[in-house]
Amino acid sequence: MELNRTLVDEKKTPMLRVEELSVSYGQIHALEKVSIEVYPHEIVVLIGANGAGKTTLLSSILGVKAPTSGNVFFEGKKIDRVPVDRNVREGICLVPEGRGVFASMSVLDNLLLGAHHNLVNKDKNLARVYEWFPILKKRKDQVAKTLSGGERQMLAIARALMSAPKLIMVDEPSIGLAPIIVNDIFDILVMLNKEGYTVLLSEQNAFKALKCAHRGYVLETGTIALSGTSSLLLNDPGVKAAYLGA
Amino acid sequence: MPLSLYYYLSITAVNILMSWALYVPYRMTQLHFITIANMMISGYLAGYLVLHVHVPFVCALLIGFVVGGIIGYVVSLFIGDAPTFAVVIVGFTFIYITRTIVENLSIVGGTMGMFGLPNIGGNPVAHRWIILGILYGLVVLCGFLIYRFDHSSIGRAASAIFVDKELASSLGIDIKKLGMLVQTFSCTLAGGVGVLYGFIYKSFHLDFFGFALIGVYMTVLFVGGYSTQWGPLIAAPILYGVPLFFPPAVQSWRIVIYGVMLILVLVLKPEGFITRKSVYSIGLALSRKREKVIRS
Repeated sequence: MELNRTLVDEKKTPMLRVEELSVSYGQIHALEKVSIEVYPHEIVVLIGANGAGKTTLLSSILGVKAPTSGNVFFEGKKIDRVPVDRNVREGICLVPEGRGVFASMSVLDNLLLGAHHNLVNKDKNLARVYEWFPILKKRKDQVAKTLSGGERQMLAIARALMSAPKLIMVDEPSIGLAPIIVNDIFDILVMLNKEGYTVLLSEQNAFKALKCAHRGYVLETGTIALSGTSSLLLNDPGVKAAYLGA
Repeated sequence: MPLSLYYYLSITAVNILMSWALYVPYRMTQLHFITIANMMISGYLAGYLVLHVHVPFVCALLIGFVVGGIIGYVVSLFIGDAPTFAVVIVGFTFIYITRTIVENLSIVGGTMGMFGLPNIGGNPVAHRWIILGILYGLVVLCGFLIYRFDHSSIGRAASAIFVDKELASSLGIDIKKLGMLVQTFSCTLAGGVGVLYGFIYKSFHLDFFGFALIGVYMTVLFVGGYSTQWGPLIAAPILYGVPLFFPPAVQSWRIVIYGVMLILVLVLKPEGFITRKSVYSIGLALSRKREKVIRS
């Protein structure tokens, strides 16, 4: 899992900029003035405990959950309060928590759903996805519920790639998977990053996530508690104590 | 053609078309009962135009389709992405309002109904053949369109919405736009079918468009199978035809029989008798048999 660390140092315009984003569910403040930046070709990880607001942040970036205040910019354009379908067309996609595949549909149908807005290039994207995930080609006519947990996670990632995204947001990819499969999934994310995709990852498995990411943000009860390069966060005593079991 | 056969064939076609008008929005969990109100509005309007304004039947039929489509589109602007129960409530309300308006509108006959619609084609025999021709032409056309819809990216998106609306939305599927499309389609279809429904009997009466129609179309859809267009197509002739062989005393209990059947099917076989899986299996078996025949 070798990464090109020089990318982190490139001072480019951020691909994604979240400015003081607040999101509430009724009286409950899920996010409170959260600001993050993701630069092109980076892997950025959001770490935090259950209920810290990681999923809410990803949903708000995509447009599924409307923020109460704050701004989200993607490639310089303001995208908060923009419909999800437009954000997907612009190049943002989300691999939801718990795999989120359509269990009763075939693997191929699941993949084609990812290409809902990109039917023109669907054959090209499908060929590329099959090249990266040969197991999915083998199982394309099977219904998704017959796949193993790891294969379902691959399918969810592959489906996201079918929309030809620029930014892939992956929510808790390791949840409920065996450690060996988790390694495979993180290898896939690193491989995708090397292929040029920008990845925003939300993960509870902080050690593995920080090992493969360039930078990270620590979310605690809806606010950013800490941020920095992965090596900095891996060596931070607070992070070690809270998330790395040290 | 015997009159009884004419009524059986024409009402079967109406049941197929109206069950499809429910089937298409239900692909994304919307039970769109506004279709019944649309039948009534377009039907009465076309009847009035033919009877009092002497508009040719074909023009009145087209107006029926267009009016149905316009109502469907306008309503879908508000409930295109509404949850099932909201769409159901709007549907019931629409039926109730439309019935009340028709009841109090003397120019369409009020509670007495509208009678004396002319024969299309000049005589009763030609009238029957023309009505049957249009109805079954519509069954073929709509069957083709719905087949294309089911096998398109839009149909796939509707299936995704049926399973998990939130997940489908996160994939960038525009639920409202898709809802507007299916609702407008089903209301357009219902508008045209409403016109034909009245012209089958050459009259319009409020009793034709009662709440019992909902029971009939729901039974055809859910007993036949809501996951494939073949469900209503196969269930409609059976469900309408079989009770006709019962003694008259039993026939008058038809709606009760449908109701019991609907409840039993929803409990014991929720997807209905014809499922997408069974259609796929039959298709696979047929293609294998065809391959064998070609080889031999």
